[in-house]
Amino acid sequence: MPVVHVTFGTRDLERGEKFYDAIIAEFGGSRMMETEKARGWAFPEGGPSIGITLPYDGNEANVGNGTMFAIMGKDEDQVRRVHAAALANGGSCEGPPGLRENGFYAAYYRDPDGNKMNTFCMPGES
Amino acid sequence: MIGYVTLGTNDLARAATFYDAIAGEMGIGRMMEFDSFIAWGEPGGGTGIAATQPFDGKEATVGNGTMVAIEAKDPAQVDRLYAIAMEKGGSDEGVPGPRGEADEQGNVFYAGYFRDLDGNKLNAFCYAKAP
Repeated sequence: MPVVHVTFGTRDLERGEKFYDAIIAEFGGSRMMETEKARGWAFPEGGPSIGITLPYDGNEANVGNGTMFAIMGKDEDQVRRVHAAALANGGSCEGPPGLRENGFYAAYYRDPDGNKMNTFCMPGES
Repeated sequence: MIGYVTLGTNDLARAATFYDAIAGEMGIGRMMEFDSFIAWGEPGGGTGIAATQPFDGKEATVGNGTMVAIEAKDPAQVDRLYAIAMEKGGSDEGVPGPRGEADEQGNVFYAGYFRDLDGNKLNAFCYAKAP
């Protein structure tokens, strides 16, 4: 699908941007958008940008159960580095780096607002 | 890059009719299918969208502030995607139309906002010559 941008809600933009600055830097990406209510990051190889935003309706941000953004890593080392960066920057662990039943090497984590993400690669790429 | 995004559903068969229609308008089909999970996209292609039953077995819910934006090729396709969403039981979050001011090249952001049957927010957009 031509998905080009995805956003998660945040209750604290400053806390969120610290997390995403660190995570996206592991992929070589950087912040490309900054408004009063939102921040956005782009990946160097293209693909959808990722953003965090104070919700449009002015109510508090929350987390959708079943919602996850999965970022492709280049190898197992990068998957481990991203997971470590997530935990070092206010994120929480939702499944440590390792082989999964679906054949991928993956690590699961949440951003400081609790939004679920993963980073994955084909196993053995390290 | 983002490989795929998942959105929670409490009725996978119902979600499938919605996303089959939306993906069909974009010329895209299913690329992965399990008992609890269906993904639309092209292997090796752009980022896929999946509808999934939550991993924890609990009810799927919607995150306020979460949105997935899909790029259409022109305003007519934005209109069609929005119409398909309404026809398949989705709900309106903002009718298709230009948003904001035109940029220096005279292009304006043209978008329609809608929710799937589980309430997940999506938009379809393009940049088009301002009328």
